[in-house]
Amino acid sequence: MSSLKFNHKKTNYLLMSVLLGFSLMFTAGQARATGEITAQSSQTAEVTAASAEATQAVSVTAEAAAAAETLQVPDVPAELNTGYTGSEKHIKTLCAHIIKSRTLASKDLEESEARVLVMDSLAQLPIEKLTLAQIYVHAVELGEKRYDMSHSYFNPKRSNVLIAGILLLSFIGYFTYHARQGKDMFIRKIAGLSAIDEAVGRATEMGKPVLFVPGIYDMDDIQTIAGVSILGHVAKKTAEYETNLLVPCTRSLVMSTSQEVVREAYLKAGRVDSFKPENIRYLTDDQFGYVAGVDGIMMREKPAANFYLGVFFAESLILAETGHHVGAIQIAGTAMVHQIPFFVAACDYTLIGEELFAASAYLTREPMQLGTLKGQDVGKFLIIIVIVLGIVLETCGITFFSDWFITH
Amino acid sequence: MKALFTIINNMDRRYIFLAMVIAVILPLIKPLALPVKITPNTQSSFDVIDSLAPGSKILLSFDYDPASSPELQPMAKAVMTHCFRKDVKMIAVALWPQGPMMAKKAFESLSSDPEFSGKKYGVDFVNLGVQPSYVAVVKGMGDSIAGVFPTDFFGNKTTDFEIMKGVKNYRDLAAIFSLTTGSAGIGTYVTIANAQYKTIVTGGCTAISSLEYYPYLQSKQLIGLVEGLKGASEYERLVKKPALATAGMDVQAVVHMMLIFFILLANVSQMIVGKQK
Amino acid sequence: MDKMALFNGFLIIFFIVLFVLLIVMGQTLRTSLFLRRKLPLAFCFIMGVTMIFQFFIPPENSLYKEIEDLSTKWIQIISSFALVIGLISLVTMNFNKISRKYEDWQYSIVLLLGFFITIFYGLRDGFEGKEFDFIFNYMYVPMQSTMFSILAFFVASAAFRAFRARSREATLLLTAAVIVMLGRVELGSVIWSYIPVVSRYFDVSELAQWINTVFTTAGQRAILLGASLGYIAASFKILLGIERSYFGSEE
Repeated sequence: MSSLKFNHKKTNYLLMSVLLGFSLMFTAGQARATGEITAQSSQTAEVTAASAEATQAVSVTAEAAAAAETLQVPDVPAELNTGYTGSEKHIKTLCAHIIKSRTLASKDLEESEARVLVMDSLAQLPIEKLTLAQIYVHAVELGEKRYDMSHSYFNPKRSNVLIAGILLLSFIGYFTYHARQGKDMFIRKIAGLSAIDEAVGRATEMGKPVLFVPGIYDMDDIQTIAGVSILGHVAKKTAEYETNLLVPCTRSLVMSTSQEVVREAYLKAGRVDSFKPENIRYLTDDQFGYVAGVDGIMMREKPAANFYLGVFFAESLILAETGHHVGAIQIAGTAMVHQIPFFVAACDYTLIGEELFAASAYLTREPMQLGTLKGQDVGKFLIIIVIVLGIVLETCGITFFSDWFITH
Repeated sequence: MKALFTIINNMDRRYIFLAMVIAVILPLIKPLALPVKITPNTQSSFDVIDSLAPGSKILLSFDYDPASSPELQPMAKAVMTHCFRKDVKMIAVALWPQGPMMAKKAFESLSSDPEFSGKKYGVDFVNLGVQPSYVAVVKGMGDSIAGVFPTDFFGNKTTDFEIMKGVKNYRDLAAIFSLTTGSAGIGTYVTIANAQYKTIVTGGCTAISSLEYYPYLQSKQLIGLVEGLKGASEYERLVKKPALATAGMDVQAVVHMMLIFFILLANVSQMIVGKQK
Repeated sequence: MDKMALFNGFLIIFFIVLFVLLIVMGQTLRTSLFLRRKLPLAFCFIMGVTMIFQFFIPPENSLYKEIEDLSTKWIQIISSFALVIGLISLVTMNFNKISRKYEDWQYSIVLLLGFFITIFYGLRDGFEGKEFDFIFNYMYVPMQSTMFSILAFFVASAAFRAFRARSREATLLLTAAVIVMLGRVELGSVIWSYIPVVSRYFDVSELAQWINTVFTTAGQRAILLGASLGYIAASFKILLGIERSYFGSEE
């Protein structure tokens, strides 16, 4: 088996080649898609030619209906079956119908965009002979072509998210780089995190266990991951002090991860014999069944320190009050805004929102982690500036700035 | 005096629980018949359903479990009563695993009412059940409802029901009414069904989560919101069928007053005990 | 379509190979840094980047839906397996408790009985079965409602303890809480009308609504903004492998 040993440095090459493979696949896909577009457009050309012939043969309304059918515009509204007189009122009616149109609605059309479609249609068609219905059908067809993004790999409506994301990531990247260079980073005191050692110490003195609740969501939520990261730190302490650590879980993946994290912590502390996997157990996926289970554990085991770190809903106060009743020192942390007041009321320390995510950096003091924290702070400062600017502009009636931030 | 307030200050919480039990039971035995003032949010939600033409179809989403049923089940029944009276057809779906059972209970309870004896399953109401991954479900229904829910909760083919004739996706629905607790529900429908498909979204939620939806109300992406038991009692009042929520509001009123009393008591005792120290 | 078939095929083969590798190597390679660290990190990175990529593809592009379908299916498959892990843990733990006669072992019998009886009726009759209906309506629903209603009692005891005018901020909190509580019920308006002067200028339910829509919403948005930034930074750390403590080691 020893011959199977990997050169770990080479895993980076493996990772890169997998990524390269992915990008090649996408490129190939794109090439084929472009081919499809060309093929399709030639088909469209044929269809257009055919319909041009048909136009001469059939009556005006029937033609509009036929065109509507080929375009899959199910209803041409009856009120559009009148002649076009070139009035502003007609243009407005057309715009309104295009925005409501069943085929284009999913494109989230703005009035200005609809107007462009109408004007372009008017420029291309012999309008004096046509009804509103025909112009409408043409405009929808034009819109379908113009807004057809089925072969595009970038959604321009999300460019604001991309820019904001890149900006934030570049801040984080910049400060992470600086942190790696050995630049000192300041991090303010977070009372809840500083109290972890004290809480575990108290449990040890009293000879009672420590209870850790990693929330009721699965590992796919960042809050759970942040909670489990803190669990590693708590486990290190309980291993050092030889205190019992109880981790009831509501998701089996959280249970497996927690077992691994705690085992590792005990291994590092050289106390792997004291590690009890049965203390980290799955109760149920059901929210209130889980609460009943954890409350039961609290009443029986009477833990001296309770940690609630992760995602919580209505159970937050039920857990925290029971914990208070058994006399435990309690540290909670969540980004669920509705539950923060309950935790603040019933616990000794509460990590509010982002403090939970800062925990890992705070506890490890790893320069890379501190760098991301700093970058995040600069991002927050930028957001404050944007909000103030937005308020000023919006008050002055200038809307383009806030419009840019609308996400689709 | 000081001794008395010291006792109050460190009162065993079970006395508070006992007072709570009395505050809950008394108004149920002897209703207070308090007036119900309709809030604008409930009225808007009611108006959405009220403005629908007979025969229109709405999506009624049961996004809660038995734990939130004291608040949301009376609301569901009031909305269903309204729809039945207006002859609005309801396609029930769920984003929570226990939602379909709640829908089943609500329909069974209403159809046993002589007023709605003519209402038929599959014609006026259908329970399509639940599918996992709520975001994918709400997105999927924009394409095809029957595609996401190929069968109803009891295993019958969705497309065979009369109510599903002519209903493909959100565009064929007059509105969406979501009864929400937790993260799956109104928020999901607003960000997907309203933002991408322009479908009218309204709904009701537990009182605790109502604040979460205020930004949507302000931006008119959500039309009306029935908030908690109070909202449910207002809806019952609007459909002129007082039931559990109205009775529950009496309880809530007394409990709120009791809570205020206890908070004041705690503060007075703290002040006296603290001063004399 | 066939490019997605290729993608699907690629992933399936990849997972099969991975499972086979894991089974063959088994415990021997538990200590391998590659299997325990690098491979999960690589997975995390590839899947994360794919999902970010998907966010920027227009929804009309078939690839958007394909990636969504694919990821949803894989999540369902993996979480089904995860459920089995949880159930095995639950059942073995309680069997052990009974066989070794640990403290309160009798409750484990109740748990296992409830577990197997519900599964039995659920599998036999589906949702239409009488017995399953009975279990849901007369056991599950009341038990859930009971747990939820405990909240009301705990809110009372927590309010009694926490809402005390110890400082200026606490007094503000207390006042706001009382106004909102009064404003949420009609009885509150009646009592409010007896308060001189103030009641003439302010309606308590409007005041409560104002506190909710202005102050509370503003505060919540501030917390949400901070938390969302935290989310993004934490996701970034996880994708790039800067944050590894959830693997059990900070290396």
